[in-house]
Amino acid sequence: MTTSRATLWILLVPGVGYLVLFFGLPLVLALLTSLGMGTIGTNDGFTLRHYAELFSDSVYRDGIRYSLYISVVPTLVSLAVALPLAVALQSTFPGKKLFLTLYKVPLVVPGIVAAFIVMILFDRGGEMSRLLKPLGLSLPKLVRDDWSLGVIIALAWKSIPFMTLIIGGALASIPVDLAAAARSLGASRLTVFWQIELPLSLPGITAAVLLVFVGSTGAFAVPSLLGPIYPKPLSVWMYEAAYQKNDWGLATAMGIVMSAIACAVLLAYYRVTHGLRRATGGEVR
Amino acid sequence: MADVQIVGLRKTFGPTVAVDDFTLSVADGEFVALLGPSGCGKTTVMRMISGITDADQGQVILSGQRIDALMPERRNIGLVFQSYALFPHMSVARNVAFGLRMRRWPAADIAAKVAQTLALVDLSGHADRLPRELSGGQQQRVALARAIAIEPPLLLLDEPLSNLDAKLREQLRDDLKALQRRLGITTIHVTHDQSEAMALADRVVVMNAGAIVEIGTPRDLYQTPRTRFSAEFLGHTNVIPARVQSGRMITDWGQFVGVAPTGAGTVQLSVRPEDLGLTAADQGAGEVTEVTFLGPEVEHRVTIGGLTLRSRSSGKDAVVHAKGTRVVLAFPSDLHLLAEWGGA
Repeated sequence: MTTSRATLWILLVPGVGYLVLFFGLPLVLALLTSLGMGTIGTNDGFTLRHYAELFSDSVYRDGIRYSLYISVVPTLVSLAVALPLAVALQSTFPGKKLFLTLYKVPLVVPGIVAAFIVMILFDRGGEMSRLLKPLGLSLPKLVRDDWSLGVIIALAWKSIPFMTLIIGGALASIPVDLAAAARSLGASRLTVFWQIELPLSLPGITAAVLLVFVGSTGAFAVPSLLGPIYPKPLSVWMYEAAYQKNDWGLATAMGIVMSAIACAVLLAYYRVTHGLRRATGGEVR
Repeated sequence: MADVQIVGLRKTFGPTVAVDDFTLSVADGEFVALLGPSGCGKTTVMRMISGITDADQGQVILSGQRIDALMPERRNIGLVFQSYALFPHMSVARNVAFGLRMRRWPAADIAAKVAQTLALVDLSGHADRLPRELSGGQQQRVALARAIAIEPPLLLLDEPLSNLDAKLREQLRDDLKALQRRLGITTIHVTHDQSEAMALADRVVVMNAGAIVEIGTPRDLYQTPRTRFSAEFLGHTNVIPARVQSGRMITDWGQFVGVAPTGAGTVQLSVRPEDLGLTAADQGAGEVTEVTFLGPEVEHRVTIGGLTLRSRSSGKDAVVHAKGTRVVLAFPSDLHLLAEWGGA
């Protein structure tokens, strides 16, 4: 009994130890710093000053709102494209092999390169407007615009193949006989998707949504290059606070708030999908 | 309920012809088994009838109406898969109700029909379970219940018993047969198991390499197969060539076995191991090379005239000959000749 428990602990050490060392510890240090008890920056005892500053200054409040905007909207746009795409990729069509290779290209393109691609293509005087000009057409403002369309395009462009890959994997793991059985019982192709494929691939969709959402929350290069002058996302303010004002307390407070918001959104998401599962299938897998 | 006419079905996958010129008519309430080795195209035929796979050519006519151009959801055919294909996120009751919900039955009618169908397959107490909480045999019965709940005129079964262990398979086979007789539902059953096909079906369709080899009742196919393929696929047989000389059939080792029904040349006899008798004789042309005790039967392998033949005798009084014993063969009086024997 005791030996097996000891063995268990030893076996857990590499995994759990890694998490504690590289994830838990930095988080705790950041939290302490944001509360004025950190090892980096000033240390003048427990204070909620940094959080107070963060929530009282409208610049930062707008930053929080903007950070949420450029993480939720690109995630929804990616999902709206990736889900039908993943379904379409389950069937065979001519040129599928080539498409399967090409659609993954954005996966290996760094975010900052993606931002420059969008800038070169869609900025005023960029390639697209040059191509469209002879046709008498003009593009709306897509770079540094009020709605951050350029940011959304760049972030979605990056995450669509990633989402498609994960959701496609989840869909591919559903036995094909299930769809055939449902069809024979009178379900249309669309009903099969809503009643069988969607609920059964929900764990994969969830994973994809969460990973893309968290990735976009911390996006730095893309909103810096393509976003409007104001508001700026929290990630950019964080950089300024830490490296230009040397205010590590404020920077870490922003980090903690950003993580808390991400967690809150994820919890909300779980509530929604849980409801969805019950609505479509009854029990949860 | 319904009769089925299948005319000239053909399906190719790239250069491979999976099914060619498949023509079959199934009477109302009849139970037909498609029997053949794996890859013979029997499952493809079933998938084309149900519409899961599109046929390249041919017609499927159900109760006088062509259904081969319809989407699978419009064909109203009950389907049971080898994998059962139960919806893992739905309870047993919701699985069985699925087809009825698609037909927009009122909730009360669905509940009544589900309860009735589950009672039919003896699963009334399991309505709220998830499929993974059931045994293989129970899952198979849920799949059957789900298929018959929609009261289809035609039921297609694709190797429904293959994933079960031998004893359970036999029991479910009997249940399936009783249920089919009771409901009188026209049924096409795909299997590679000859004993399953013979036990269940009114008629057996033997398939090989995408084409029908032979159609007949289980008894006819077993006792008087036209082809060597069906003779060998339905149980074991001894195929023995014989010369016809002045109206008499003589084997290669010079044994007179019977009067030839026709002409001259060579004929192929198909003799089932249980019909081939052995008698020990010092000067016998055959030699016992192997003796296997199978429980209900004893099997002797005999080498004679360059052939290895099997002979089986049953019961506890069966005579066992030791290995190396010289024997003579005793043929049945009613000999069966194969009409086609190609290949070996």
